[in-house]
Amino acid sequence: MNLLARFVVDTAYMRLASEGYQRKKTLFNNLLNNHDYPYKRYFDYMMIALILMSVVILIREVKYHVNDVWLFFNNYVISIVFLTDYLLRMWTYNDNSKIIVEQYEKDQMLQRKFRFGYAMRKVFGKKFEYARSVTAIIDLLAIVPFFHQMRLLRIFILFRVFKLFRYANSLRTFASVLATKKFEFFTLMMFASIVIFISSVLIYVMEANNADSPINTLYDAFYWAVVTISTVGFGDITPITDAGRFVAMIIIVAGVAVLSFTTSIIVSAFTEKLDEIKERKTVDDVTKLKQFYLICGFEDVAQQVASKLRRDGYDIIVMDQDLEHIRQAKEHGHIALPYDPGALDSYKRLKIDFGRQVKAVLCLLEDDVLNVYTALTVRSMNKDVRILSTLVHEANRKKILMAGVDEVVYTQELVGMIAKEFSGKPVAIEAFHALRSEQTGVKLEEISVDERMIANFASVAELGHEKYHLIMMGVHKKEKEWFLFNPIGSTVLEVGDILLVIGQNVFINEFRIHIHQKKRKS
Amino acid sequence: MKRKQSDAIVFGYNEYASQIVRNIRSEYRSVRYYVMSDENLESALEQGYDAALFDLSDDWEEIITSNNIEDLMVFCALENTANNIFLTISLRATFEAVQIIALANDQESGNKLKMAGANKIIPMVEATANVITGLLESPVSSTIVHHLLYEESDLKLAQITMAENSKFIGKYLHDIRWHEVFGIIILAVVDHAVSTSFIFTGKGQNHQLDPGDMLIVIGYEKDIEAFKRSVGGEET
Repeated sequence: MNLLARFVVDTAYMRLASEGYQRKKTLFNNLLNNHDYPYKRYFDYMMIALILMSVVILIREVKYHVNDVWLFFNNYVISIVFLTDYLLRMWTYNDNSKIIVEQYEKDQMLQRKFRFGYAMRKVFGKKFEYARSVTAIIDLLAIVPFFHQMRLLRIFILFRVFKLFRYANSLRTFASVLATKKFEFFTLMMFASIVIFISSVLIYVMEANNADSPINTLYDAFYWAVVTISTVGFGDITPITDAGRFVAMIIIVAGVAVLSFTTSIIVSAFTEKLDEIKERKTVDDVTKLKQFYLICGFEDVAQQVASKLRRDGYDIIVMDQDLEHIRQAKEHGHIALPYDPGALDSYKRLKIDFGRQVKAVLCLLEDDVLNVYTALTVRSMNKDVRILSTLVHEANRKKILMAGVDEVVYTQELVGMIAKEFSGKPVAIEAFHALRSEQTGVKLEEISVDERMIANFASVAELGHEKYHLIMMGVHKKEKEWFLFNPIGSTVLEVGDILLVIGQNVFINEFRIHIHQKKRKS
Repeated sequence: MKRKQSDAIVFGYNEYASQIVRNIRSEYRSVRYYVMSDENLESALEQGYDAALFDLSDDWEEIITSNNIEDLMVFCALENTANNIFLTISLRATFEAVQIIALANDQESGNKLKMAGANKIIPMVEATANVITGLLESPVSSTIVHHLLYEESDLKLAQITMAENSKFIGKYLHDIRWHEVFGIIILAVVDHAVSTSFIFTGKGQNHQLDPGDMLIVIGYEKDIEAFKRSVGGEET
């Protein structure tokens, strides 16, 4: 192995092993290519701003003098930024070190001489593969105005506009949707080109020799054909001979076909992709949510829970495989996804961060098997997230608990308890339910005691809740997990305690404000 | 307890029915299942329950003659909502006085059951949803309310009717610091003379106590007992 090969292999190994190098590469890769990377957005905005600036300068320059500073900025700073962008993209496109090391190790294993030339060819092949992609070519052309001495090349600034496709999300979606109809567009292009070719040749043959005709060159004929087939028809060039007019009629009919075909391709591309686009949007929305409840299943109970939580100002996400349920959920205005709540893949697609984003997972499917499955799936991804599940059959309670559910709600048991209530003290129970239903304007409210409150109100007596017509039902002491019913005035309050008060909504709100205000020292 | 004097029957044989029976057994003199199939009948009898067959076209007179109609509590817990409504309306058509409590899936069937003559509805979906949201949004109060309602702690909910000769007759609700004197909280008052709706103390509504007013109180058992003696009322 010669010295150069030795050096290249050593460097490749060093780079693969170097944490700093890999970290840098990942960072740039995220910044340039990873749409889920939170800071990519800012990078994109910066690039879009630069592009727009250079376009503005180009337009201004046409008729007015542009400040030298701006010209310098345009010609050098922006170009250098774009050049760096181009080179970084080329760098992060693939990993050369890996190719070299792989080739080296392969050759070693086969006990033959390291084929340095072959490895290098592979390396350059990969880079060339990047360089010849459409986006890379546009990037490259966008740098060209750097050589502003070549005045003609200034028009290449417009390539910077094409670069917008890279940085603007919606434009990218648009391009990707149209890309799905490559074949149709190709067919259409072929058809249009053939019609244009034939008719421009025909019109040229018919009219070019006629002194009265405005069509004198093949270029005129081509221009006329394009203008006519597109149904634009400026009218600056018109055929005057009968034969020429006949050609015109043919091309007009063909033009209608071309136009309608184009429209229908674009429309159908969008209708086909609409669901996908919407879904992607939903996933984006989910990633942006700070905290939410994840509701799996959207049957009766889930529907009510979802509406209640929403009404109380919480964000929720509904996940259900049943498309009919998803449709209903969307009708109710919830964020709903037609994913299987029991599949790991669903959560990966959503990129949910259980630790940070999810307040609780609610398994509300009307099937214990599915609930167990969902709970297990969630548990396998996060050990701490709170999971609540309904139970359909008592026999499955143990299994549900084993799957890692924290709280089980069993409707039948509730029904039994309510039946018992009705048998005992129906009026009292009804009063209590009325209180909880919040329709009466009176409610039972939890107020947690924080440091700010403690500073001013050390005991229950100092709170002055009676002025607000509130009934102090009790204090839940955090330390001892005790509930002190009907606390005496001298009960000491501590941070983390929870007050349970009964009263009118408005008074409770007033009371909240009162206890969080600094007491004036008189 | 006073209820011990009366009987209860439960229509249906499913997990709802069995939970109802399990919970109300201690409250009634007897609890009986009415089931629709021989299979269920056998199973219920095997487990030591009192059970009998019925079907929706049956003559109800014959079924219920064995019970004291005046004091009978009926739970309609059939799985099929339509059947449950039909059962309720048939029962109401035959017996005017029985207390009918029916299970309802949703608001719609709840309304129908009420129209069919059920005295009380147990809204299953709503109750479950309430418990779930309660657990999520306000875990402390939910747990305490749960214990209170289902008597899993020393704290009790009671309804006490003011006696004619009570020393508090004519007093205003807010004149007395009930929670300091008796250690109980008066949640609401029902003045049957005026209306059947609740007068919530928490709403700041004042009210002059009359004989026959029903006080809804929360407190520890012994405090409630003491309060009852003091107001000269009786628990209903």
